Amino acid sequence: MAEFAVVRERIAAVRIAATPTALDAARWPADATELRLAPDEVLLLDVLDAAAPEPHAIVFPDTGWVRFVLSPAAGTRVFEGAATWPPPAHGLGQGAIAGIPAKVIVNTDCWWLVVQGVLADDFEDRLVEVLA
Amino acid sequence: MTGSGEFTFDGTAVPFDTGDHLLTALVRVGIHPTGGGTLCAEGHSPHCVAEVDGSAYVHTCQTLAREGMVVRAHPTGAPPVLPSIASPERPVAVRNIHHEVIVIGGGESGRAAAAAAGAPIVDAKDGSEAIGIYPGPMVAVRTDDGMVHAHVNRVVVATGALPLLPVCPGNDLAGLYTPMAAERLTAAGVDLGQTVRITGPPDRFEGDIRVRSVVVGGERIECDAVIVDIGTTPNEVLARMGAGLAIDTVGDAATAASPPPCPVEGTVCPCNETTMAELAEAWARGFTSMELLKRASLAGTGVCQGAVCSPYLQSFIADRTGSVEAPFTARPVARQATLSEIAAGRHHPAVPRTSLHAIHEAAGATMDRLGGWWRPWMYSDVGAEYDAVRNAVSLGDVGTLGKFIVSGPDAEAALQRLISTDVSTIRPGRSRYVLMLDERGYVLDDGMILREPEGDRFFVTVTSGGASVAEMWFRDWTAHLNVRWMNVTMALGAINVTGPRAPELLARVGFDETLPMLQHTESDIANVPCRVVRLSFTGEVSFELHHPFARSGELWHALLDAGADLGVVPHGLDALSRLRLEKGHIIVGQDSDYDSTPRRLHHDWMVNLDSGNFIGRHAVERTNRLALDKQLVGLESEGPAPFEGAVAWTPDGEYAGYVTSAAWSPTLDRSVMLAWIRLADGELPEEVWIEGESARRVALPFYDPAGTRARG
Repeated sequence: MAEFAVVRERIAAVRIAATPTALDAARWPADATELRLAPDEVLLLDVLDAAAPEPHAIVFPDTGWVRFVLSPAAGTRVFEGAATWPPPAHGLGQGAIAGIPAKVIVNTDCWWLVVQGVLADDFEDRLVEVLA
Repeated sequence: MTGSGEFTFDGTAVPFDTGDHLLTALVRVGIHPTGGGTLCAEGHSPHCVAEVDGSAYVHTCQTLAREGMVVRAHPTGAPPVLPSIASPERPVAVRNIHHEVIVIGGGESGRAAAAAAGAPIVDAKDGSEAIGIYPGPMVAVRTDDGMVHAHVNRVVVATGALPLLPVCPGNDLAGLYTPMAAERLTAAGVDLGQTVRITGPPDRFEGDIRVRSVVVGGERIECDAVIVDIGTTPNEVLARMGAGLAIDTVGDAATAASPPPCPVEGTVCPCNETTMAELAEAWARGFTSMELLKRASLAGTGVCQGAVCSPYLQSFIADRTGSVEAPFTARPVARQATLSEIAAGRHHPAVPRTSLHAIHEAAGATMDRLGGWWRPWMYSDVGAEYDAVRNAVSLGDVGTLGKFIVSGPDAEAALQRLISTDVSTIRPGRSRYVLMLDERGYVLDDGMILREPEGDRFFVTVTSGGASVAEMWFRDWTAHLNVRWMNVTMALGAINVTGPRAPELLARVGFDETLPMLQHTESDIANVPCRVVRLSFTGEVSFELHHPFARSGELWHALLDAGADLGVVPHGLDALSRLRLEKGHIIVGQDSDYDSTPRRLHHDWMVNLDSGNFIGRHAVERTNRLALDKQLVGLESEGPAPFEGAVAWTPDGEYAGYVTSAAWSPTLDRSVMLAWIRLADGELPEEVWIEGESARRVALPFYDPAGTRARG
């Protein structure tokens, strides 16, 4: 990946609302990236389905998310230029980036910035501006 | 690039040497940027500011000279002209940094604090100038490369002391310098001529434009320049700015200082030309505190934010009361900043785009921001869009609707708490149009409740733009219940297939069920999994197809392709607003107001007072006992549709109310309106006048009152 390139991709995801206890105890598919958005809500990236962790859980295949894949250098620059909060050393962080609600997943070799599809075009424009 | 060269000052070429600040080069050739007043060369005095390359209020003593710069003196007696919006400033980049502690000031105390805390230092001498402290704390720092926003847990203010500038007659002459200014200018090779240093308050300075003599203690001393060495005052404006935040002040900035002797006369606030006499006048009028004097005299509200006058206002008050008041409240910014610098790092709110946004744009739709979303207002011919709905079939993008899934043993109880209908009577597979009320019984939102076949699971829609408020409302009121909420507003697309030929179109793409009004089911349509909801907002047979966000495009195109010979076209909000108005359907927020009870809205039929303790119930019971004072009604007129908000008058010329929605109805060949109309003696007027046209009150809906077309 070029150092400051932005790769945009749709995500297969499943969102689950359930009791916090059930979410704490749940075991998700091995290839899923788990984002605990709230005590009662989790977003599983890169899976198409998941078992309900409790009888009344809402398991929702969610196509409304977009992922931007950046190099660590680009991710660092985005945070310096467009986020008032520090990125996590590793794993999930949530907050506004360039004024848009976003999730960041800091991996060793790349950073993922995940936003809702309805805001993805604006987000991409702002990322490009920050990285220019 | 910095280097020897020239800039212009009011059109005159001014040479500069490498490393010169603008002020240095100007003084070298005998120019005072503001005509006169004591120069400090540290960025505190207001006497060096000028317009630099289009930016006003720039401290020339802090700005390195560069080739080709255009410097202008501010107009005399008037503020500088604001930049034209036709030539906006270049955006200023921002860099966010995070530290435990940051130290402002690179003097001895600042360096010691930084060493102790392992903290970085912000120091204007190094080209980074702290211009404000904001909650967080966040320190805004201006650098040559743009703004730095330092997010920290603690700030140490070590900004030292400010030189006192003299207040006496003649303090507006050129040739007056603080010791630091004299030192820096001399070091840069500027010849100040014959100088005299004074260490006590002067009686006055004398001269025409430039100082020619200074009188101290009654003694006149001839000179070319005066070095005014009359003391200092703590430079703690940044600390005051951050009141309540984690800020420590150290060094000279923290040293308690006695105010200087109270001047007798002269200009105390050079920024606003406030004199000591005017301070006395304000005092005599009863403005007898720092803050009141500031407001009454404007002293302290100018460019230097009190750097010059604040100590003298303290001494002025102390002279009269015997006690020293604290300095003014300080607020960001402490230095002049351009709008671009202030806006650095800010973004305007992003407006969501539906899953069909690009398709609408490709179709040439006029897009507008409505209900918090980008939405197609019209494609090309609103009349054709309207006709397609009334006579054939049309598609509308309703992906903007707020959408929620509700589940759990208490799901029904939760909705029963939130909704003014009897939720228990909504059977699986059925839906109902419902109102949400607030505690005062006013309409908060409207929407649909769909009960899933599972029985304890529901799908709820609310108005476009209402989802965020609704989610907070839902969660707040049901936190004690065993219920799960999921906001799927931005995860689902939704297409409204509407018109008398809608069932025919859907049959062509795989949905040939007979789905009665207000029922719903799940089905694959054009191979896209959809929740199909039978309802009607347009007044015609309608099916909302809620589907995965990522599949909107294929569904939309499949419907358009399959219905080409049926005359299917998409419709925008312009057509939809006319269609729904003909049916008398309200839009919450447009036709409702902040005090709209269901009865005033003519929607009391949607409130079931036997359905439990829903929010707003007691208020509804109470207000139902009051005389009705106004009501949303339908009006018809032969004249053109008035603008929304037009005033309605009684035939006697009394104010009667105002229009909330209006449109010319092609089908009815007249204007139709919704309007808030006052009751007089318990009666609604039969006729009102709006923009010179008579309007009759009629029963709603205007179109298809029996609802046969919507039911199909």
